[in-house]
Amino acid sequence: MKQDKVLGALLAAAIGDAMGAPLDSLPVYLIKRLCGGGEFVRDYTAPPEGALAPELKKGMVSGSFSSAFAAVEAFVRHGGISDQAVTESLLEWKNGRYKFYFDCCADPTTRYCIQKLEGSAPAEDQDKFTGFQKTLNSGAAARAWVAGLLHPGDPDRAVRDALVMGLPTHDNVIALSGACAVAAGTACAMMERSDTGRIVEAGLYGAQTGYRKALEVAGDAAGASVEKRIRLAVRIGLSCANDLERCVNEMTDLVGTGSPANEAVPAAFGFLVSAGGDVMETIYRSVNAGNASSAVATMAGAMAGALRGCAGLPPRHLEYLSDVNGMDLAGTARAVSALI
Amino acid sequence: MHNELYARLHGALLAAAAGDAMGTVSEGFAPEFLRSRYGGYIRDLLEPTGDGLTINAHAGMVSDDFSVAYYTAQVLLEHRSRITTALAVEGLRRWWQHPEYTCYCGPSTKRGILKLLGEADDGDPARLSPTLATNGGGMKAGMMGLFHPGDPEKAVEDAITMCLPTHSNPISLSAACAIAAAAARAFCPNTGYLDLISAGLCGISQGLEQSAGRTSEIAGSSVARRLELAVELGLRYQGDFEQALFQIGDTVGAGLYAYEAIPAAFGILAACKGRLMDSLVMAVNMGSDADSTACMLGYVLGAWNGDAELPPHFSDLIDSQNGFDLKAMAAGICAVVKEGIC
Repeated sequence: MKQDKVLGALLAAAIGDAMGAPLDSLPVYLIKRLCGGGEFVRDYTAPPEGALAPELKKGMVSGSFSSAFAAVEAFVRHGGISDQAVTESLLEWKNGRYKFYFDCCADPTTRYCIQKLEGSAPAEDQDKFTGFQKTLNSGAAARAWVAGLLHPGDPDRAVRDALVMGLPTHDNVIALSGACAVAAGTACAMMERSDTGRIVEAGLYGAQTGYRKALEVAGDAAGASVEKRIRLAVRIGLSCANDLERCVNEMTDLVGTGSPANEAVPAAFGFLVSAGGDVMETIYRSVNAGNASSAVATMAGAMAGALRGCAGLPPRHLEYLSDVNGMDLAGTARAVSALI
Repeated sequence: MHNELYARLHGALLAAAAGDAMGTVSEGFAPEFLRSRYGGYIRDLLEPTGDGLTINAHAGMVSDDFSVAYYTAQVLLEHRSRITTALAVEGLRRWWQHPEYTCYCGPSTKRGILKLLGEADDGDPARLSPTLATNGGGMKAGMMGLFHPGDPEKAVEDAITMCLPTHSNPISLSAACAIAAAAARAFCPNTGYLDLISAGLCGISQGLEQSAGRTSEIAGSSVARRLELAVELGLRYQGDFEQALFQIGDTVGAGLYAYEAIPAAFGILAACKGRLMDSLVMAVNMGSDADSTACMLGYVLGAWNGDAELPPHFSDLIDSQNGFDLKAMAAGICAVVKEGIC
């Protein structure tokens, strides 16, 4: 049961990231034309001309899943989440087995912060990436579901560890509030009996608690509220449940599906709700919104996969993604479930 | 010269500059933080605290928002001409000589200027990064409403000409047109605050139509849909200043993106029923991109309310701190408008 949920989350997050990556930065109306041969995208595609990361071949995950997977592996080695394990996982992502993904996907601020961890950050970049330039993006949130995976049914521990995971790269209240929402949502989805309504409640709780706790340990930031926007996204998700096209357009137009944590995280909850928790449908909705599609689909996929396990996932994905990306998803899922 | 048109033009210039200067203090901060730092709402031109985005700024100094519009208007008045691409570029170049203002420069303006100066060129990609869907068009395009008082359609045309060199994407451009159209509409007789909102929405659709084929593709939220949401919240919380401020700031957002600050401005206008000082105070205390939000509201509501409502010390302080002469500029715009040059 636990192992099925862990593998479901890992696999669905990877599917979402890999399907979403070629569509990153595209507006909705270009997706059908450039990537889906006139239809919405429901499978892996090659990056279109002008793609954000043209080096990522069809089926490859991007920065979101690769950094999360490096974290999962490090936490398995360390037997849990700690500052040391987080640092190790970020450096492994930058210099180790997943260097390829880091090189083509990491945003400039994340890059700077990880360089700082290993003492290799150029001093002249200090002003460019700190203070008001700090990143409000959803990079921390796109990894934070791992904290939920390790704390099934315990949103408080998930929030605590999402902060530990997020602080080195996303030292501000908005990015961390988003990370805690996803961590708490995933922790709730991992429970034996869960549903999308409970996941949303946990997500709202995580966004609130995460914001409050982050105020004590992280930098302040100005911007729209992750919590308020989750409420808006859920309302849109419910009202557009039976119409993928309307759902992606409404979510994009009103909530936003861009990289900021106060867009991507709420959108992920909205798509999960609109698809009724169905794993593949959650992923299709997330990726076809374009903009930050890979991050949104990674987070939404992780929550849906944790909720439903592998049952709704066509078997071909596991072998395909493990092969293309050289990641042992099944073995890692076994190791994680031994830990929790 | 103290006729109604002059009073409205001076009101718009002064309020836009005042909104910018008041908001320079609160830009980049969260509303809760501002409340505890200042023990209430900011209602005056305050000295910047030095921990924000400001560099060597003093109370009354504007930032990039109003200054780029000011120098562009100066160029237009010298040439006694309606805006053209060449004059828009001349305005940008003149502004670029003022590091005290350009230090605030946003990503899309910077990209445009470095291209014009030949210092960096990304070769007009068909698709722009979503991070460039910013509000720097709106902050200067309000000025085009003042050059076309009572004529929103011409204001939209000129807003596009003015903003294309720096904001060649449909999100930023259409948002800029909303501000230009609403500012122009504010001069029409029998115009209520709801008419200003519908002028803004018309400006967005006209802006999208007229810029089609002249811009790069970009992903982002809909300026019109967010504006409708902001206005819905503003109308719902009329009479509850604090709730309106937090609801609009939390849900719509008042950040750097054109689909945040411009919709937020219209939501604030709705919440405050178009009252000038209330609207500026709400925008300033919403934090985030407060100076841009307040500056844009200043063009529209300064024109709508005239120059009598602002605190009397604002005019001298703003002129002296920035080396502006806003009364002379208002008279100059008044003259070119009356001669039918624009």
